[in-house]
Amino acid sequence: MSGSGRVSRRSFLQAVALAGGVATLPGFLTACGAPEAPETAKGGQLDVLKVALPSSLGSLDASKEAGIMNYVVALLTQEALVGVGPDGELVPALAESWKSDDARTFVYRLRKDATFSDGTPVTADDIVASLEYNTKKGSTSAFAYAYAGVKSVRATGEHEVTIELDAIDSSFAWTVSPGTLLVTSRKFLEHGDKIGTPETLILGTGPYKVTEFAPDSHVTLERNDAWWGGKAAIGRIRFDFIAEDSTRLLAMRQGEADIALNVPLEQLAQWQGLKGVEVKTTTDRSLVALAFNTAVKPFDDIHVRRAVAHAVDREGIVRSVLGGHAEVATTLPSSAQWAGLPAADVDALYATIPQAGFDLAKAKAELAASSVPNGFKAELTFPNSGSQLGKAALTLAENLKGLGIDLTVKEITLEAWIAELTERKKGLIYGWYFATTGDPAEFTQQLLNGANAAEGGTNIASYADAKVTGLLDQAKGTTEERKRAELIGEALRLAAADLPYQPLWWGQSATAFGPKVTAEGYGPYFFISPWAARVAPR
Amino acid sequence: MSAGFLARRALGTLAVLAILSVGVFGLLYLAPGSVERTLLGTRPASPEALEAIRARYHLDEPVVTRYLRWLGGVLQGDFGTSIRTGMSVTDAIGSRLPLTLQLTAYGTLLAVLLGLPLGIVGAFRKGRAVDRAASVTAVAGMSAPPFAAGLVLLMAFAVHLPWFPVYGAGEGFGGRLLHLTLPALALAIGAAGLLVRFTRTALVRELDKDYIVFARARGLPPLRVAGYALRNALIPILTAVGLIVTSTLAGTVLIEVTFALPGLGSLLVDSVTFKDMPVVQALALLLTLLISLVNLLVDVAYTVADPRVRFGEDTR
Repeated sequence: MSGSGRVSRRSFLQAVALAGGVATLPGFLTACGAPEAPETAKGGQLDVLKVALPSSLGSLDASKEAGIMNYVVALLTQEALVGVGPDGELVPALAESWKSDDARTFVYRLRKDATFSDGTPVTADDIVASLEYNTKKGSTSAFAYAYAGVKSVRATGEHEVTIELDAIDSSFAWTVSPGTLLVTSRKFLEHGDKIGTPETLILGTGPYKVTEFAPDSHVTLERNDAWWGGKAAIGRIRFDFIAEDSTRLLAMRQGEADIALNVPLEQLAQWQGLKGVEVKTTTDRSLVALAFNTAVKPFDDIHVRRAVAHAVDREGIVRSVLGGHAEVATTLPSSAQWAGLPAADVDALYATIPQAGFDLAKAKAELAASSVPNGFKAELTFPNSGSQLGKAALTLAENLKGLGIDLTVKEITLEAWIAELTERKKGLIYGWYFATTGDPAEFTQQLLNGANAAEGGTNIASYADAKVTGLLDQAKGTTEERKRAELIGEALRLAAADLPYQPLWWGQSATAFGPKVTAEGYGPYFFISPWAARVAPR
Repeated sequence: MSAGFLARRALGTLAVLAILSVGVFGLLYLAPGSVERTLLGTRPASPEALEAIRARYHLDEPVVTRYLRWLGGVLQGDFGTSIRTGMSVTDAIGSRLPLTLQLTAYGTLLAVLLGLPLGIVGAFRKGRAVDRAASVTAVAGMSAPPFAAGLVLLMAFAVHLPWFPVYGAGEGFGGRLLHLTLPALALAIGAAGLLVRFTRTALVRELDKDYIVFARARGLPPLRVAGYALRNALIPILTAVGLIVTSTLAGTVLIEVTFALPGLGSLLVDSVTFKDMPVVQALALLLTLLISLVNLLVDVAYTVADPRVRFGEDTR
């Protein structure tokens, strides 16, 4: 192999585990039989739902630390104006209805029976304060970017809030969903920087309220009986942070956890072998793509981009690296992202997007026609939290070696990788994104719009095509769903021919449910809803 | 205890702390990644938002100014606020220190309880089967990385024989003891190996000395002879115990992750990758202080074990 990344602690651990025979876990588990079920949940009673999370939270406030696991906890306690339904459609939450005739002025009619978990009623002023937390000048909220086009936020009635934008933006309806808005009270916002810390916690209107937060250890929640959506079935929830995959597996096996998130896909078989445990997988609408920085040599040359793209064996990666637990990505947004469009139409659209399939002969021919016919050296880094990206990169490096391209694969910290995304110095870089909306425009605008192509922007391929940008700007100003989908589709089609990105796969995530619980409506949008309200004792 | 000796030690420790704080600060500053980007993740960020974050955490200031700002705070007893969590550094560390200290103490205690008797038995039965068995066990223990030992222990005593819980810190004294047993044992295995080797070597050397031969020849009871030998072998054994305390403290970093324990180790790991400067600095200083303290205690113990050793003089 031409590239050998640093050995991470985890991969070392796996190697040690293999050598020590720990990897033969399923056999060992069968040999020693199933554990005795601890306190049983007869009659559908469960006092505490125990959830194992793969990483700790730095803050409970998702506007300070917007990680996937932050949302999993925050969305049980906080809500937005609108929520996300099981199929990715926008549903009423703190707003019982909303209206926008021109996609520029949005009027939200608030629910009258909503109260915060401290008992105070939700007023229009609280909503305005929560929105202004993100819109005000100099906001340090991680959600601020979504409000860049907001002109004003006003309470226009006792139970009505009106948001006005500088220009038409058809994507804005998603901005006030939980991905980029979490409502708290004006009074609570006075805590400022202390919000989300163990002493101040968070305040919201959701089905649960936080009672304790111990970083690196646990978070405990208690049911909020005053939730407008009804009373959740389980009274208390305890989230435990268990970073080590093997420890999480053992905890699940011993009945010390009822739900475990982010089951590692390479351990799936072992988890499925646990008695009474059901492992459910679903697309998580994440995207992994190879970005070619079109402003950096030699990737400014379309032949070089094509050569590398033809050397990527997407099917092979999904099959062998991901064990089939992913979908080959043919474009940027996953097919589950098109909430407003019938699946058949999405498939029809995706069938027209040009592809650079795995073909080493073509790759060779493209390289020969390029500015660097004899090959070149390049580096591809991957974040240490995505070992699958590293393995995929190594298969690519192997394929590229035959063409004379020397690709070094290097593991770096997640933080260093995030910095590289914005520095825009590397020619080849991994893009790895989790969608916060069910809107196909999200990835498309961020990754293809020329307005985001400058250093520090989200268009990590520095791709600026006037026609594609024009189409995307037009889509922003189009409220008619079908027309908008066509514009986005056309932009994806045009851009694919220029190959700024080679999409690799759309991820799946697996969640394990223990013998004591059952979840209704598990799907791609499950964890961006007040999900625990739909978990019941079995 | 001589005051001059203590003053010299304190000054030395202060010098180490000062050098270390500059070194850690500089390395962290040079490490890849930018705090404001990390805070916002892969999401889009407006230049204003980045600017606001930089200003809030003084990231836009020159590195020297930032260091002096931090130092000024520390001299007034203010260790600052964690950038990652928004918690005060004193609170963040204070809530975790007891667990790490308990784990270190428990691990050291187990190491001494395992290592010392094995080393003594090995020395008195030099060359026999029991000595060879002790040596082999010691080498095996020393070769096992603590986290690998931790996983094996989990398989054996939490799954196969469900005696201990799999993870977490437990509540109350009993719960804590139960929860920390496996992680402490994982730490103790390697340390005990080290102690076996040190104890055995030191004792064997003493047992070969003339005064032991004479004592035996005069017919003193074997236990009394053993007591003399042990007392004279105590200095290297104390050195080993000091090493064990510090290595156990360092080992908690990995063990805390394996057993999902909210101690200083897991805090250090999260904070270093995040470049959470106030927390990393405070932790580095705290760990240095703890290690200095352990070394001081070992020095004091030398004088108790051997009255010929004086403070401030070369002990060996």
